[in-house]
Amino acid sequence: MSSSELIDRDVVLTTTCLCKTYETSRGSRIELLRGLSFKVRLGECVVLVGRNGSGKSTLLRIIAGLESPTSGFVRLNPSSLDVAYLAQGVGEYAGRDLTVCEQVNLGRLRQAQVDAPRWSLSGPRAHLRAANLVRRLGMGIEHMLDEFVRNLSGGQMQAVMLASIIGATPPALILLDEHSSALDQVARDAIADLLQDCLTSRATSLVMVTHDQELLRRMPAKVIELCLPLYSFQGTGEQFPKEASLDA
Amino acid sequence: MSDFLLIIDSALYNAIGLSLVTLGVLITIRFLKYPDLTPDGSFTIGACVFARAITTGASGLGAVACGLGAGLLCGALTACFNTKLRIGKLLSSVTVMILSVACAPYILGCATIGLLNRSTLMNSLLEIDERSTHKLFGSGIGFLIHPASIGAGAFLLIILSVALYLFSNTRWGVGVRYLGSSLDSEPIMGTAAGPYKWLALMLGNSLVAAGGILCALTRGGADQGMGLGIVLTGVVALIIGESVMRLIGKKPVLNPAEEIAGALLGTVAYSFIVVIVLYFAGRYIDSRLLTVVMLVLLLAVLHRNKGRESELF
Repeated sequence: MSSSELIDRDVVLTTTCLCKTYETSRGSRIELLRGLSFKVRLGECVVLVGRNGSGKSTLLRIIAGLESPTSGFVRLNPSSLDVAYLAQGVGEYAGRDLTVCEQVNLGRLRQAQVDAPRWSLSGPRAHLRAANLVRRLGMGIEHMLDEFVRNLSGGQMQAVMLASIIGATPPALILLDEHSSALDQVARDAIADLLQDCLTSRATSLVMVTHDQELLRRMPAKVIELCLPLYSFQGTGEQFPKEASLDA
Repeated sequence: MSDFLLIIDSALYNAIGLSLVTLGVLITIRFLKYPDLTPDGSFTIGACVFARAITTGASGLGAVACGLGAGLLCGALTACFNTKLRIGKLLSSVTVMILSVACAPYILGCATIGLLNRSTLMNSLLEIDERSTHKLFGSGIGFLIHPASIGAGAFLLIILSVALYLFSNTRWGVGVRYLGSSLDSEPIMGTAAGPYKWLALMLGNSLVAAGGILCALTRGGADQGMGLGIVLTGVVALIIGESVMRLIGKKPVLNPAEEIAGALLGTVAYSFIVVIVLYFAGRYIDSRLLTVVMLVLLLAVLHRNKGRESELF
């Protein structure tokens, strides 16, 4: 077995010449990612930075399989890799009528978690598991397990969803889109410690979008800066849209 | 005295079958928050398949299984149209509803099938009811009360409600409720949402079909128009029950146990209202018209302080 094969086995995510093109309502085209290629190895943390509209969230959605690239491809190794994705706007996809206990124990629905309860997501065993999972986030919400998710603050909801997707056995690849935007500093530190633990176990890799400079300083990460999108337009000068209206 | 007893008896007797419909609607419309109109079809088709199976010589249990299977198929078709053919939620359910109602005459082979004098479990219960009535009021009176049928129905409902409660706490049940209570489940579920929709729609519509079977038994027959507007009946019962449970618990969101208890309570309350109104004003109004009037009045009262339109009802 050659050394290059050994290295490749270590790679969990490869993106090759990714490109995503959108048509705006005024007929111009916005080209995001512009042939982006990178690899993520086991236990590695990759941070995506860039201006608003540069395609960071789009890239995460493409990796999560929720969107297709216009060209290029994403390869997961193995193809059945357990991927957890925490998107922006947590209020949109939190189960508002579930209790905190049920939401935390529901976990990642794409892949079944071995340790997650199956028959009762609000029983004593489920309560114990949920309490242990949310305690690690340092938000003090372990006493709110029977509260409905809709009654939580934005930051608490973010923490609950994070506990839900990471679970007791972290997934092989975690994709986080501004996961700490609504959290206070204590919770940010606790979550940074939790993610650090996941990485040091070398069973988890992390791709995240963050504007949190403190987190960037704390975690050893490969930083990828995405450029602003390339605009192209065909038409007369009168039809040419103002740049302000082209923000993605 | 006999009129008072008759009202109570009729209300409880009707509530048994309707409770199954409300529990089915609870799964699809409340838990999954799917604007499912399939019940109008699955109720009819469940009753028609059952009646046809009985008249062609199938055993009682076999006929019930056929009726439940027909309801299951209706739910599966709605799920298939939505998840595989990408037809919108409302249109997929309306399509299956129309399809089921259109198929009903072909299943029946005629406009209606009578089940009276057929050897079914229901007829055995009715014989006990008849004996009980004679024992209590003497022979020769002009009415029948149904203690045995109501008791057996209540027993069945308790078992089903406990089973539904246990299901709603399992991983699958919570998954269905998650799908209904999140505004956008895609980031968490991705394409994994499909099986949860299939499960909820199949389960909900087979419960509605069970309601249709019970209705055919209690009415003594099945006809092609018997399911018309049944989904509204379930919705009205659900709204009444939820409102009462919210008032009792003084909280805006109910847990599954309270939702199920509310559905049963709401059906009994709805049934009492219908029986009482029809008793006093049956000449001027029919049950479907009354259901619509109740729905409009209920929603007008419940929504009077709301700033925006509701998600479903």
